[in-house]
Amino acid sequence: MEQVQVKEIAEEPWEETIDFLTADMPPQEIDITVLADRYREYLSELQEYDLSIPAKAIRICAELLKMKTQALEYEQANEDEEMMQEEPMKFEDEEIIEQEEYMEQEETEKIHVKDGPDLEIPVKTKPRRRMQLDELKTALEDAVEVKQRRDERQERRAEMDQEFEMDEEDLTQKLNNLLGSIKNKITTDSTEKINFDELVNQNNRQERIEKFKHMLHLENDQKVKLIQEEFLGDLEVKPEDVNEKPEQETDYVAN
Amino acid sequence: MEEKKAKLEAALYLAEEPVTRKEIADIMNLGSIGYVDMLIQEFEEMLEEQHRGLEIIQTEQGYELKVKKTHIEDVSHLAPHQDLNNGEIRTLSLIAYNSPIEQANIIEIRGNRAYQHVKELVNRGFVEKEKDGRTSILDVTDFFLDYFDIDSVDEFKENFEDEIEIEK
Repeated sequence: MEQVQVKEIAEEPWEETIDFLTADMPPQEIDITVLADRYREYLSELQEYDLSIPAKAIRICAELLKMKTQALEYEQANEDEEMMQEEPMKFEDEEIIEQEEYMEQEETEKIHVKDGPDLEIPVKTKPRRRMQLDELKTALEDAVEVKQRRDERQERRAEMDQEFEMDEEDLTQKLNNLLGSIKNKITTDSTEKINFDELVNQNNRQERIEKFKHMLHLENDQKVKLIQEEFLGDLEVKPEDVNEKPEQETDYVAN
Repeated sequence: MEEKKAKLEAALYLAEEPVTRKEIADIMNLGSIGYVDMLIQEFEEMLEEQHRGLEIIQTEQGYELKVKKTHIEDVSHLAPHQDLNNGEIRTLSLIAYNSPIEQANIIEIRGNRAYQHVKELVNRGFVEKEKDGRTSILDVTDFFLDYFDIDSVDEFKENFEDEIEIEK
């Protein structure tokens, strides 16, 4: 695909992308293997042309690859089954070929071999014996042990989950608060824009970086405009709509 | 008749799964199920009279030829495969120890695979299942008691000096 075409497809909803990639297949005969490959190729091209790849596209690609694997597994299982069914025939074919070869050999070399007696393999099943009470007793002890192990595993898993619990404020909430404080400052100072430094604690480097990242989010969502007149100069923030009330009335919604 | 009994013995000896009366009738080319019953009864009597080491076991699934209880202890080491697999026998032991018990509790303790175990145990006649609201009550059967040669489940529970704690 060409860059322009890829860009056009990337702008469409994902359903349209799938439609485009399966345009040459009848709806009742969509080959999931081909579609998964095409979608993966499409993502590679997005990357190649330096276009952003949405997280949803990666999820769709992962799902398609999973479906492809399942389809291939199913195909393989069917082939195995067919092979199993075909094996007796194969055996017959081999037998016939062997017989023909033997007959040819017999004709040329004139070897006479007498038929031996038919071999009969005695049939015997693998015996499954009656259980004893002692075995039932051991089984109960094993069952209790298995249950204890399972409980311990669950406890360990719960502990691990607890360790990973993050006590953090939601990003949307943080952006909401920041946008609210910008608008409050603008209203209080009766100005159009404020300096970024006014929003952060000068000594807290971590906070500065975090607020800067949030500011970029807000600009990306066209909630504020960031102005920097000169390289490494002061960064000024101007809300896109000053008249809009802060967060209590209009909640910020991250796009 | 003797030849038919010999054929029945061969069928029961060879079969991996219990053999139904219908299957026996087909093997023997018999049109009457009543005749199959008679044949089985005569075969059972013959085994008994001749003090043979085998006996016929009847379950819901059909007939099986098994080593007599009296000999099993001496010969069990020759056949490492038990009647039930490890998972099934563990589930059975829990049902027996706690009987009667709700199926939901057994699933809670043994996991989802226990649904299949219970199904097999009911089919094999070790356990009976009675619907009770959203779950079922499981209990051991008389066949279970006969099979393990005990008079009641209490006899099984007595095997444990310390009481086994199972959270339900």
